[in-house]
Amino acid sequence: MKLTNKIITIITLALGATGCSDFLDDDVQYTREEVITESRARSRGFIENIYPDYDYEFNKDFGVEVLTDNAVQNITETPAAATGYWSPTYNPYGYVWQQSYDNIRQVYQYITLVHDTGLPFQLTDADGEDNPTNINTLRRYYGEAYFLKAFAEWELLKYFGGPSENDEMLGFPIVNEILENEDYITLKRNTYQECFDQIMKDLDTAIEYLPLEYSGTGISDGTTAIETGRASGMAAYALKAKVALFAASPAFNPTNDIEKWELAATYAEDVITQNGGLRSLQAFNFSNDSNSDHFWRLRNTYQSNDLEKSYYPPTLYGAGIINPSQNLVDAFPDSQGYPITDGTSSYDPSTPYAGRDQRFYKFIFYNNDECFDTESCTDFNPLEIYRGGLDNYGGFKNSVGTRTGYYLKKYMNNLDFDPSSLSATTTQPRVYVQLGLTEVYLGYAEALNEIHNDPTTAPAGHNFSAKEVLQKIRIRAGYTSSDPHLDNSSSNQSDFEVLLRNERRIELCFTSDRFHDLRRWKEIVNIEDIKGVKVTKNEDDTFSYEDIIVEERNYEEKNYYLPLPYGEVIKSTILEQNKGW
Amino acid sequence: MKLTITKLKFFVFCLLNYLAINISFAQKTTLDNLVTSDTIKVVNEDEILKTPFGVFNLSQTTGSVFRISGKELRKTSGDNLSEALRGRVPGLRVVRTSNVPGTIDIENLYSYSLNGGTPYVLVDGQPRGLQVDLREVEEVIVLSDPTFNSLLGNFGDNGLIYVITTGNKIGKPVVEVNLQQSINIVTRLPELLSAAEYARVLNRASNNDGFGDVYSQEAIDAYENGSDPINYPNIDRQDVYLSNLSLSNYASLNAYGGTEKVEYSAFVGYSDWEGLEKVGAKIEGKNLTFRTKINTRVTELIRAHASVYGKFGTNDRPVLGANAMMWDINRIPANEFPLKVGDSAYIVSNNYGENTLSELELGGQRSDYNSNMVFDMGLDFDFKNYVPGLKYDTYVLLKTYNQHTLQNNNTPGLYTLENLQDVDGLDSLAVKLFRQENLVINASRISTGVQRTFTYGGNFSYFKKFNESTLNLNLSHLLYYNLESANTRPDSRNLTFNLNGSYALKNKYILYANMNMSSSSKFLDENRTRLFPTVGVAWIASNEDFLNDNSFFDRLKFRASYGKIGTEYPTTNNSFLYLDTYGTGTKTYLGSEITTQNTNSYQTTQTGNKDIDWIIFDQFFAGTEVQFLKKFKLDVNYFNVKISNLVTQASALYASSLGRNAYLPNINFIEYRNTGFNSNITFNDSKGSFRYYASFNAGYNKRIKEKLAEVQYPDEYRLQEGQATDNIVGYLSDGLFTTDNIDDALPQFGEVQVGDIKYVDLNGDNVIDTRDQTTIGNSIPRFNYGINLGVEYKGINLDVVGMGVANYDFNLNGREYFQPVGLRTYYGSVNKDLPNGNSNPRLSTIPSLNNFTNSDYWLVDGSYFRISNAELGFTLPESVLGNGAFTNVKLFLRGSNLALFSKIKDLDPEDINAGYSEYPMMRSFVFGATMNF
Repeated sequence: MKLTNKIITIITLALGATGCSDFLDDDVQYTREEVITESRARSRGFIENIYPDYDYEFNKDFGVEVLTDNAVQNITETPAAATGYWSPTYNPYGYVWQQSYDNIRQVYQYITLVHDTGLPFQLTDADGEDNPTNINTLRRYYGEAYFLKAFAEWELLKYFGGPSENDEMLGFPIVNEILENEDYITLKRNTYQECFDQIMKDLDTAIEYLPLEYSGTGISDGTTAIETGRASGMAAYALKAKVALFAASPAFNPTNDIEKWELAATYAEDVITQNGGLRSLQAFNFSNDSNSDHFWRLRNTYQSNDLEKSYYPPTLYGAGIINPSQNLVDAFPDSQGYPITDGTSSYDPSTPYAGRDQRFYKFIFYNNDECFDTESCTDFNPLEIYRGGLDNYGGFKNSVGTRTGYYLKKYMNNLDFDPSSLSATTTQPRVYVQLGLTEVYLGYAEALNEIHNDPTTAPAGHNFSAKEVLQKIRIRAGYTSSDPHLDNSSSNQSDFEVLLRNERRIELCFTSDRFHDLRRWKEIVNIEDIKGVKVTKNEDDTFSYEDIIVEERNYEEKNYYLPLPYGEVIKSTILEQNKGW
Repeated sequence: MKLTITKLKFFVFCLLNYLAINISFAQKTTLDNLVTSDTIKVVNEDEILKTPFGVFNLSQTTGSVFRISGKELRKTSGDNLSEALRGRVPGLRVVRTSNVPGTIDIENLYSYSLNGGTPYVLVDGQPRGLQVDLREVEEVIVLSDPTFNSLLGNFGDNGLIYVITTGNKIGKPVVEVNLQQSINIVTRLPELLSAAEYARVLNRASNNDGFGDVYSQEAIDAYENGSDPINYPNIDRQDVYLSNLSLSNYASLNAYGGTEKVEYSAFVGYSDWEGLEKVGAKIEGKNLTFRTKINTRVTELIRAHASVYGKFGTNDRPVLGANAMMWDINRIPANEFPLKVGDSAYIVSNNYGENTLSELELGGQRSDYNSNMVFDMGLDFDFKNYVPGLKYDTYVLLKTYNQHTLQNNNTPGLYTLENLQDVDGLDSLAVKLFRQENLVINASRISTGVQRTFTYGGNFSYFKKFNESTLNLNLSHLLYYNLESANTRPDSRNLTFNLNGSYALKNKYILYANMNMSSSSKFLDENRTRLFPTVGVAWIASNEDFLNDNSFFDRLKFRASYGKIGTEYPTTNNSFLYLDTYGTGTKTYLGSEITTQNTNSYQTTQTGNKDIDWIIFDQFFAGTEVQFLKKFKLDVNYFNVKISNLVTQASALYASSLGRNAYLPNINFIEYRNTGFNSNITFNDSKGSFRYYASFNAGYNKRIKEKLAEVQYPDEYRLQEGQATDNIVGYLSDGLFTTDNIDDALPQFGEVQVGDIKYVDLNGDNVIDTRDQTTIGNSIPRFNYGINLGVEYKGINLDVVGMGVANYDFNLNGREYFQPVGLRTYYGSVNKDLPNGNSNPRLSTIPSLNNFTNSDYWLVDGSYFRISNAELGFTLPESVLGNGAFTNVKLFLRGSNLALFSKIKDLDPEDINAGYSEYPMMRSFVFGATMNF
C-alpha cells in the first residue's frame, strides 16, 4: 500500500509539471464576426447578400402568372390556388414574409455593425478619407440599404396588405431595428397608410444617398456603369410610383380617395421628369443588357440559357413548361391595333395568327410559327402544335406538349440547342427587370385617367396627357404611323381604361403584374376559365382551330387579398389575418 | 465531494499529457490469467471481458449481455460480419442499404439499429468501425444497457457491438483454411412493360386528358410483331444488359496460438467479385485483408503487444456505375429507341439522351483503389508484485483511410433517328448527330479521399477477492481525435474517463456504479466537461439457498441499471453550435456588356449559443435471465430511455419575421422517450448423436416525442407532441372519386376527376388542406425478429436463419415505380393494383397534385420475412482424417437470401430501390470448405 501511494504521488507530480492539455480547444475552423465587419471589402457583403433574392425571378413570376387567365403550366397541375382552393395554410407566397424581414434585418446588420462604426471603404496611403470613391461608395451603400429595405417592405405590402376583420386597411408590422428574437412575436400590423409612409420615407433617404443612375466607363468612383444592377435614384423614384399606384387602386383605396390617384400620377411623372422627359421606349430585345429603360435590372450571371431550356417548345429542345392561354392570345389586337372582336378588325378565325399585333410574334410560340421576331422569317422549322405533330404530346419528346396550343416566347433569345449544330449560339446575355419605364408609363396613364376625364389632355399640375403617354407604348408595339383605335378609345375615360388595361396585360404579361393588377382592380373574381386551342392538320396541309376549355379559374372576393402565413398568425396573439381568410 | 471531483479531473487530465505512447487492446481472458497471484477461487462460469474501458466479469455483471460465437456466425457465407448478424441478435435490426459489388465503404452496405438507435462498434476494444472480416471473428458480444453504455461516454447512447477477433489465447498453434465459391443470382427486378404494352398505357393517359392517341394501332401492332425493329423497337433492357448470375470467391488463412510468453495470430483473407453486366467490361474487383497480432511478456511487470490490420481493395468498373446502369435499364421505355443501328451508331431519343450500351461498350473504365489500415500498440503493466490485483493497460491506435480513383472517361458518339422524305417522296431513315464522340487517351485521377482517426486510451484495473465477495475497480481514460475529411465540419475531439466499481456478495448480490466524465470540444466552459453517473444492481436468485434444490431453474438472474449518458450534438451540424459564424452568400452579377463584376456577398450562417449542452440519455434497463430444465434459456430486457436536451432551433416558437433560421441559436430543447423490450429464447436438446436447437429473438421499440417545438395548431390531431418520431403525416383517404360522388367533391388540390383520390375532411371546414392531415402510419419497423433453427447428426449439420420486421407502413408516395407520372416511364405496376390492394388512381399526362401526396391510400404494410442464411455442412469424421495433417475438415453448402415473403412483390421492401435505381439484391449459393491443421 505504501508503495502504491508513492507511485501515484510520483506520477501525479510528474504530470503536474507538464501542464494540462488544450487539446479540446479548436478555434480555427470558423469565420468570426470581425472577419466580416472589420474587412472593408467583406463588410459590404451584408448588402450584397440581399440582391440575389431579387435578381432573377423569372420562374417565380411565371408561377404567379399561371394563377391568372394568361397561362397554365404543364410540369404539374396549376397550383390549386387558381382553381378554387386557396386557404391560409396553402399560400405559395408565404415565403415573401420571411424573406422580406430577413432582408430588413440584414440592412440593419449593415447599418449597425458596419455603417455606424464608420469603417472607410478603401483607406490606403494613396486614398485619403476624402477620396471621392470612398465617399461615394460609403454613401451609396447607405442608400442601397434603405432602398433594399423599402423594396422588402413593398413586397410585404404587395402580398400581405389587406383589410382586417373590421375593415381597417392594414399593412405589415414595421420593423426599424434589430429586435430580440422573442420580441418579433409581439409585433402588430401597422396600417396600410403607415406602411406606405414608411416606404416613402425610406425611399426618400435612398434617393438622397444614391446616384441617380450608373453611367460612365472611366475609373470607378463607385457610380460608374460597372455598378449597374445596384439600387439607384431612378429605381427609388420608380418604386415610389409603383407603390403609390397600388395604394390608390380600388382594393386598397376603398373610399376612392382621389388624392391617392393624384399622388400616383405625381410620382410617376417624377420618374418621367427625372428620366429627361417623355422619351420613346427602347425596342424589344431580350438580350440587350444596357437598356436605358431599365431603372433597376439585375442578373445572376452574364449569359444564360436556362429559360430557353425550360420554356422552348420541344422541337427547339425545350421543356415547354409554360403554356400561354388562348385568352391571352385573344388579347393581342390585329395588325392595325383593333381588338380582334372589333367589327373593323381584319382578324380571320380561320387564319388566327395572320396579321396580328407585332408583340404577338415576339411573345408567343404558335402553330406553324417559324420566327422569333416577326410574322415571317425562318429562324427554325415550323412548329407542329397540331394533333400528331412533333410539338405536341407524344411528338418530338413524348412527355412534352402544350395544354393550350401555345408556348412562351417572351424573354426567349434565339438560341440553337440542336446537338448536331456544331458552333451554334447556345447562350446569350439576359437581365431581369424589376423596375422599368414601361410600367411607369402605364401607371401614369392609369392614374391620370382616374383624376382627369379627358385622356387627350393633361390636367393642371401635370405635363403629359394619358393618351400621349400610352401612345409611347403603342408606338413601340408597332403602331407608328396612325393608331385609330387609340384615338377612338381616348374619347372617354371608360374606353380608355379598357384599352389601357389590355395594353397593360400584354406589355406586362409574364412579369407577375397581371395577378396583382387583377387583385387591385378587384377584377380577379371576373376572370374567365382558361381556354386553349385544338389544332388539326387537314389533308390539304391547312389547319383547323377549335377552342377548348383547359382549366377552371375560381376566385372569391377574399382573393383580392392574400392570407398572412398561417403559422405566423397562430403563433402570435395579436397578428391579424386578412379578412375572409 | 466537489473537492474530490476537482482532484480527479486534474489527475486524469494531466495523466493524459504525460504518458508516453504505449498500448493495449481488449481481449478475452480467464480470471486466472488476470489475477494469477491472487488467491481467489474462480468459479467456472466466470467470463472476463477486458476492454479499454475496464475489465469486467460478465457473469457478475448488472448489464445485458448477448453473445454469439464466431463459429455460429461463420455459417453465413462470404466475409461480411453484418450479413452474419442478421436475425441473430435480439433487438438488432440490420438493413441492407446497398448491393453494388465493390462498394468501398463496407460500413455503408448495411445500417444498424439496436433497440431503435444506432449502436457503437468496437473491434478488439478499438473504435475502428466495422473494419473486421467475418472469417477472423472469435465472438460478438452485444451490450445494450447503461452498465456498458456509460463507459463509452459520447458514443454510449445506444449500446455496443463488441467484436473479438481470433488469437491471443494460450493454446496449440492452429491453422485454419477457408475456401468458398459463391454463385449470385438476381432476386427481384421491377416488372417492365413491353413496347406494345407501354404504348397502350400511354394512350390511356393521353386520352384521359383529352389529347388523343399518342400511338396508332399500326404502331402498336408493329411493336408487337417486331416487323420493323428500327422504327418500332421493343427492347427488354433487363435482358440485354444483365447476366443471370455472377460469381465471387473467398479464401482465407488464419493462424493463431500462444504460450505463456507469447501469443500471436495472423489472418489473411481474399475476396473477389464481379458484376452482372452482360456487355462490355463488367465490374471486377478484389480485396485483401490481413491482420497480425502479437502479445509478448517482456518482464514480470510488462507485456507488450501490437497489431496491424489492413484492407486493400481494387475495383474496376465501367465509368457508368452499376446504379446508373440499373436506373437506365428501368426508366427507358422498351419502344424508346433501338440501341444500335448498323455497326457503330448508338441511338438515343430526344426524351432520353443516354445509351447504356454505348457507355458499357465504349464509355471507358474506372478503377478505385482504397486502403484501410489500423495500427495499434500497447503495454500491459501488472503490478502484482507491488499491489496484488492492480494492472494498467494502455494503447494507442491510428486508423487511416485512403482512397483514389483513376478513370478513362470516354464520351461515345450518339445519334437520333430521323425519318426524312427523299426527293421521290419516299421515306428514308437517317441518323442525326446527338452527341459528338470524345475519346480520351489519358486516365485522370478523381476523388481522392483521406481520413484519419487517432485514439489513445488506458485503464487501471484492480481485483480483490474477499471471503464472500469480490471487488472490481476500473479507472479508464480515452482520447479520441477524428480528423474530418469533409472540410465543412469540425474535427471530433473527445476525452472520456470512467471510474467504476462492481461488488459481488456471495455471488448473489451485485452492485455496480460508474462515474463517467466526458469532455468534448463541441461545448464551452463548464459544459465542456460533464459527469454522468450510472448504477446497476443484480440478484442471482438461483444461487440462493431456497432455490438450491429446485429442479426447474438452472439459473435465474434479475438485474436493473440506470444511467445518465451524455452525447455530443450530431456531426450533421457543420459547426460548433456555440459560435456565431458567417459565410459567403449568393453572388449577383453587376455591370453591362464587358464591364462586369461579381459581388462579394456575406451573411450570418449561425447564431451561437454559448450554453449549448450535452444531449442526455436517461437510460433505464431491467432484465431477467432464466435457464431452466437444462434445455431452455430465456433473456428478457425492458428499456425505457428518455432522451432530453436534443438540439433544435425551435423556429416554431418564434415569429418568422425575425428572419432566417440562422438568427436562431440552437438550443437544447427536444425530448423523446424510447421504450421497448428485446428477448431471446433458445431451446437446445439432443438424442444420442442427434442434436438440435431452435431459438427465437425479438425486439420492439417505439420512440415518442415528449417535448418539441411546434406551432400550436388548433386542430389537435395535427400536434406532434406525444406522437411517435417515425409517424407519417398525411390525409385519410376515402377511396377514389366515382361518377356518383364527383359532384360533391370538396375543394382540394386542384380540379379532381373521376378516379382521383378522395380525402376525409377531418375538421369539417369543407376544404381539404393541411389542417386535415393527421398521423396515418409509422415508417420504421417497431418490431423485428429472428428465427434460428439447426440440427446436427454425425457430422452433418443444417442451420437456418430467418429474419423479419413488422409493424410499420411502407409509403409508396414518391416511389416512381408505383406512381408513374405524365407521359414518361410506366411499369408493370400500372396494370395491377397497388400492393395494398388499392387500385391505381387516374392516369394523366400531368402529374397530379391531388393524388401524389401523402395519404393512407399509398401506405402498405411493409412487413417482411426473409430466410437470410442457411448452411448444410458435413464435417469429416476423425476416422477419415486419421493421423494426417488435418485436424478438422468441413465441407458445406450455404445459401443467403433464399426466400422473401412480403406484401410488396415486385421490389424488395428492405431496399426498395434495389433492382430499380440501384443494383439488385442477390441470392447466393456457396460451396466451400474449411480445413484445420
